Amino acid sequence: MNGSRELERLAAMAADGDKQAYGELYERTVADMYRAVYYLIGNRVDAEDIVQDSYIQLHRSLHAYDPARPLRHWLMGVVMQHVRAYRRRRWMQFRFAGRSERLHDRLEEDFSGLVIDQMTNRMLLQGVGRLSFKLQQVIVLHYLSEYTQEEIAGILDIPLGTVKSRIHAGLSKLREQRQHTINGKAGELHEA
Amino acid sequence: MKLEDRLRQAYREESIEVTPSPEMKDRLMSQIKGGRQMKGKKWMVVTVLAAALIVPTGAYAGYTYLADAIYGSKQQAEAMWGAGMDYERLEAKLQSIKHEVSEEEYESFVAVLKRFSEFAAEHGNADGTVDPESLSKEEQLVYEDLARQMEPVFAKMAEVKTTPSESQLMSTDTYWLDKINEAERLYPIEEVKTFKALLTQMRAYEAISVDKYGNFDAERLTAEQQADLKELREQIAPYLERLRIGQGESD
Repeated sequence: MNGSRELERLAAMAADGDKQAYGELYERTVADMYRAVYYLIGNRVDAEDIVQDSYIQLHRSLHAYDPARPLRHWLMGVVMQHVRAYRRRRWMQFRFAGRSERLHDRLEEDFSGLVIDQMTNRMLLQGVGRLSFKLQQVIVLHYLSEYTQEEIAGILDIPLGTVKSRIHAGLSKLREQRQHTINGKAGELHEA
Repeated sequence: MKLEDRLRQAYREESIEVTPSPEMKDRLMSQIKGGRQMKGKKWMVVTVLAAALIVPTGAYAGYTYLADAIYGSKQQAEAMWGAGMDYERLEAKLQSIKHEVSEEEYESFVAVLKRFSEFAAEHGNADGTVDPESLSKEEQLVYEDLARQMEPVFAKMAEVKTTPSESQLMSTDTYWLDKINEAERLYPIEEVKTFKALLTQMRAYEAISVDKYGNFDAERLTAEQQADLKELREQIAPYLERLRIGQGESD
């Protein structure tokens, strides 16, 4: 989160109509925003649409930005709102149910030939993808985007206690997944 | 290694190659305009001025569309301005304003819009645009007074809370209104009717079975409703595909 004051300065310039400053602000923040969306949505095309819409919304709202608040947190709040709106629009196609099944399939395939107690990065992150959206959201913001629990509470506009309990629940479920998989693999080896 | 540390490491290593395309910046920059609060305001003023020539006296109540308060009716607007007239967009904008302000403020806003429209009808050129410099001093005062009265509503629209709320995004209703508008351009009229009917039914199920995070809970539906939903989904899928809804490729 270094250089955040510079972001606030760019935001002030952009609010006064400086497009170049807005472009610079975009360059400095977009990778983090895009990654968070990608890990919540699971496909690049839709992630780009969501991020682009978020930056358009940000630009329209810059004049109302309170510079006392880190711009990066404010922007992530906008992005998360767009992710939620996107999910509500897509429910008609069962995208998330389908995605969950595909992730599950891949997870099972990836276990072949692996040492039982070593989870690959991809397997671990696929496990996150199988959590409920509420849990995924806090896990991604905390462990990928590296926001503190207090910052996440501000970004999502939820109580700090809720953030803590969701992170705890998310980690517990990941441990359960891991244990379940290890048990399953051990059973297979035993049968073999 | 602790699970938390493994998660951080996994994200760090895996996300390096997850980057947006360079074209995204070009698309974004082409869509934004420099200037403070001017985009929405300019658009609205232009719309009001364009509306000015077709405001029917006394036809301001009892219509489905909020925009009817300005245009009279969609049909009337299109008769004057052609089918390409962005009536749905104006309607969406008015819906958004109504959602953002109190009933009293909204009524006041529409009243000012009407007066502004009447002024533009009298003093604007053929396309409803008013050039303030061409007005007399008295007319300029009236013009400025009307613009001043509209300022609080524009300011209200532009307000953003520290944490943005859902209402500040394009609402789900507005989103589908836009899609229906697009469907009207793409599909024959009969198909538009079918699409609208399917969408209405899907959204009724949405209200019952989808939470605010977009999670679908089939258990909220009876077996009969689930079967009906399955059929609806199959029927609406081709329309959504043509509207480019949910076509991203999964990685």
